[in-house]
Amino acid sequence: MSRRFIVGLLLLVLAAGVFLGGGLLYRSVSQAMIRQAEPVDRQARLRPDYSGSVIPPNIAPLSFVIQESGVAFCARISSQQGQAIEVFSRDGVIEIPLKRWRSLLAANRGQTLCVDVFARDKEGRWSRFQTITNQIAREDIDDHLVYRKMHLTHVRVRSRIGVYCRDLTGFKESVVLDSASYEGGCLNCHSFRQNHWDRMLLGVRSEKYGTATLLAEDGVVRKLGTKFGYPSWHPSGRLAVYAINNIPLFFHSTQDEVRDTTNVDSMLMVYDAQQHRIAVEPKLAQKDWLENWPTWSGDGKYLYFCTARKLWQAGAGTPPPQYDQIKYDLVRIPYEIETNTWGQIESVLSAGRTGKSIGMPRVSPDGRFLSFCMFDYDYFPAWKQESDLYMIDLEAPQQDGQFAYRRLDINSDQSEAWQTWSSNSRWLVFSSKRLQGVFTRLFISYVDAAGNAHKPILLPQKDPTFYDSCLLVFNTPELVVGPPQVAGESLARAFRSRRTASVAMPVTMATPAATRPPSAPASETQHE
Amino acid sequence: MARRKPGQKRGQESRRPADSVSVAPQQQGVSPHRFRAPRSVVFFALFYLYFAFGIDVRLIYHCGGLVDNFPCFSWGWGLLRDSLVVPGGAVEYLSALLAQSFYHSWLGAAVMTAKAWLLFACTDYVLKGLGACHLRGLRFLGPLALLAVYSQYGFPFLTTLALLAALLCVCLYLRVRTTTDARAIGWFLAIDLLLYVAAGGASLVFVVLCGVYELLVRRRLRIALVQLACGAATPLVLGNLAYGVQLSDAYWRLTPLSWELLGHSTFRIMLNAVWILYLFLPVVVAAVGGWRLFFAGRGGLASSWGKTRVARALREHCQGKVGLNPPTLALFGVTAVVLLLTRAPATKEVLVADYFSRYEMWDRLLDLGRRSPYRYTVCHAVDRALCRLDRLGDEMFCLPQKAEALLLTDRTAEPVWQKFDTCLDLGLINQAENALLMSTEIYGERPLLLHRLARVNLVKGNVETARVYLEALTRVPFWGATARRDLACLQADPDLSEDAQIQRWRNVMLKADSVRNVDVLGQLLAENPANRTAYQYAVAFSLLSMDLDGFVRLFDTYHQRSFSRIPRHLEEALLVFRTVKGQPLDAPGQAISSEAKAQLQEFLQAFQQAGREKTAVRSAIRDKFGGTYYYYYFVGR
Repeated sequence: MSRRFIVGLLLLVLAAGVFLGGGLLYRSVSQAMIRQAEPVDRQARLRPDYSGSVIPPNIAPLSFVIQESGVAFCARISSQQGQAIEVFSRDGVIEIPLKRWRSLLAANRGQTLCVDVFARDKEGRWSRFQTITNQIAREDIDDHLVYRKMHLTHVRVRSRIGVYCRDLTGFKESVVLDSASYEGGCLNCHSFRQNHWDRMLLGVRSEKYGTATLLAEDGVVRKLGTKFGYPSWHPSGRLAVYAINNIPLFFHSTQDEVRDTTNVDSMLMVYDAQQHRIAVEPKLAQKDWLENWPTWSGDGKYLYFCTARKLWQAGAGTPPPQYDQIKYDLVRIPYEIETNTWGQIESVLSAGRTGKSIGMPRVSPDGRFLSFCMFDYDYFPAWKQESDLYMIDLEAPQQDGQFAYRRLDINSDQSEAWQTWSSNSRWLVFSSKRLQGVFTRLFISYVDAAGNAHKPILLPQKDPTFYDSCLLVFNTPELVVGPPQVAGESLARAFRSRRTASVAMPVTMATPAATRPPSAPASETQHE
Repeated sequence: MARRKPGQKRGQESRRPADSVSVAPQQQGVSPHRFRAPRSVVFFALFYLYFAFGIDVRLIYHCGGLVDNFPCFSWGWGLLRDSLVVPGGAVEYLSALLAQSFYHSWLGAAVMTAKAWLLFACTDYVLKGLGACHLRGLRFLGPLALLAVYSQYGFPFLTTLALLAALLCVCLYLRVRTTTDARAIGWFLAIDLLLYVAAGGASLVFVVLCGVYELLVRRRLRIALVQLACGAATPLVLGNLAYGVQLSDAYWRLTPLSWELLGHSTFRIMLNAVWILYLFLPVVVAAVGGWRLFFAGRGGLASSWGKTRVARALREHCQGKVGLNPPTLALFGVTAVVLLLTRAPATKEVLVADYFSRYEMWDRLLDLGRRSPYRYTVCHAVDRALCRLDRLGDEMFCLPQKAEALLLTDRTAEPVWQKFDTCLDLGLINQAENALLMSTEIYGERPLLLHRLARVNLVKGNVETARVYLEALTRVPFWGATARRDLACLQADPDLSEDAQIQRWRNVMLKADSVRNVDVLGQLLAENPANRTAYQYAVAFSLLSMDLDGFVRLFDTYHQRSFSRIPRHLEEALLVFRTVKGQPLDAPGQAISSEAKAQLQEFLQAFQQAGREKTAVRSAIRDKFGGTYYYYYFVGR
């Protein structure tokens, strides 16, 4: 090596040392000054608002932006055990390092997580805000979250839409299926058996490849040549119940949410995954009733669903005349899987009692709680500003033979919908428009053993300013254990394939109108 | 390419005699090469000017409801990360970035000229590498193809950039030393892999060109076969297996066969020209190589050609004076023919009208309207301009009119792009939002649409939603300042009480909700009788559809709330109505000017004299009365 090279290398090392030393010196000086910071008699404003919540012990770092004036900032995250994490920033963006965050949380399950925020003014004086606390839960959340991510749509779906899987312990997001892999179209209605990948249903529509449902069983993908709407797996994985709907789109001339939809006609169908056939249970497909939103109880003994008497005749136009007067009841029907017998429909909660329409019921896997949405009319809560989340404790004593229900405290004055339970029944993930209006975001809320839902946290992103300019909407979340068994090109190839798994269809239909495909072309109608 | 002899400088490589046109001794001391430089310089200078002013590429950026494949771009790592997960992502990213230059015509034209020149230079290099200097006129084919496509307002920017990347790699391959098999294959593989990652399926052009070159020109069969085989397998291995894209995407991404590109109508414009761009060099290389392979002597073609009269004449004219000569004339003649055959003045008018309308350049829009024949969206834009200037009732019939163009009610068309501003003017805020979001579905999240969506949400009081749109807009080139300004205004005044436009829209916005087709103009006026825009459009629609009863009802109910005088056409319509109904020409409180009455009498006289035959009537009285409602009502459109 030449002398010049050695000298250059030495100079480089020296420069790096000076730089590093300077940084460390600055850091230690700052740390010393922070300890002498003037107290401020309030908490710092953070964006997103990660304060006063219960957080999963295995969640990704809850990075945030300090929304206070200052020229430098520091956030100190600590708990009872382990070393505190200090993050300095000039612009208020606090990105918490992943590994240290994970260690801190893992060591402090059930403890309080403290966040101390400091801000420095132009004169170099540090201020310290009141400590922000969050509770670290003892129970993990399922480590993956599957959701649909798409652009806001009004009628056409030409832009990309995809179902993605996010590792909740970090920030990695992988594609389950993207519309680009089948030359554009629509994706919806993904459903898992009890938060596991071993049974998955995914509805896909495309002008080029038609309409189908992808069935993934233990890593093997098959294409079923029919669309399953809002499917729900029986806990055994042996069958699934799904809806067939006719849900046209229409628009309001002055309401804040421009879009609306109504369930013109619908019924529930039963797909037997072992015998590969579809059956019609007459009680689930009554001609004068609109059955929708099927969901199974955790033990598979009950199928819960929403139903309403049809107020119009076929061909009543779009929307039908009394679309804003229809309100759905919440009912359930017992089912015995060994004998394949259905009981009688029982009322759980009637619209007459609540004065509102009920939709999207979901039972916690332990069978204890039933969450659902209530809103003014019809069936689709995501487009109803007044839609809120409610809960029934199924094990609570019934008063007057009726289930008691209550509105959860985690609601806002915007639409809440699409809630999903974790496999341990302790976490609820739901979509909400509370932050940014039409841009639906996902929130995570802890539900304790008494059924109290605690203040939710926004699904964290690596860049805490991510949502500030994100024009995508997130919806239909499903918590799942583990990474995808099948995803991406395997699913896409199955959908593009001409080979379709044969499914025996019933000879007669209770409500023929509901079996016709929606009036709009396959790729043109999309509901968030 | 022939090797340099020791001692030879670059550019002085000896050529085998047959590879070059034999040139007569320099008689007047002027090299033929000097004549080519001014020709190409002039060509590209004119090319630039044509793109800047003839085509006016900012019209493509603006979209105008026609260009549906203009890429969206925003600064930040997100877009780059999303681009790089598929083959061709790098070129796609670069293409989106460079396309933003179309915001300014001068800048976009410069980018296009640079692109065209690079195509020109690459073609030149390849032809020189083939030793086919006599075919160097083909260098201009690339720029001419671009001229043809863009003259029609097609937009194949992405696929042509991918092609350019492939051609640059071909030039690189020709440049490097590939004397041994190992070097040739090694260089080829290295370039091909990188090119595939960067440019996707367009790398197949590189593969074909190199393979054919090796096979037919350098006659290295083994290398050619290895290159062709490896090149064909690269998309399968890298694209399908590594990237995980479907097989067709692995092979065709960014090429004219890509479904992503073909799905856009603007891309399909002049698709044949794009194919010519893709195929002509491989065809030329194959033809040259094939000719040499199958005909005796490498010099057969060139020396045969060199001896012809035409070649001699060309050489004589190329020498001596700088100026017009047959090759130059041929080039500009072909260029003129291409432009004549491909120019699209009607499309340009539509784009220009929309541009003027979006940016409220009313006077220029009206000038355009006066010069143009009837066009659906241009008529709509012109009517909007007249309404905004409160002159709809005075001048609309001086311009070509049809009822369906006024409010875009032609059900066979779906001009959502043109609708949103008109809806905002009227106070139909939800309809505007609907049209805007449908436009984003069709044209992408264009910055103009994002800005309008922000404004719409501000009107509705959805401040946080508007903020998201504005924050997204801060990352878009050339729009950051506008977005930051709007965010600052929002910060200072969340209610936007100082924003006159927002307050105006809030004052006129429709209040009563409905989900069915209703008479929105009637509803707007019923809620807010002082809504001048709604009144003007309602009256105009009545006149255009010759519903004089409806017109008179509107006039009697609302006119005095909005106007202190009676516009000319409304006077004419009142006179027609009263004449047809046999009523007195003047009504209490509605005195009609004597000029209007006199003109009606004149018109009726002329109309009667002209006879029954409609064509004769039209031509007889159009000049004097063509700009009146009398003509529209009695004679027709």
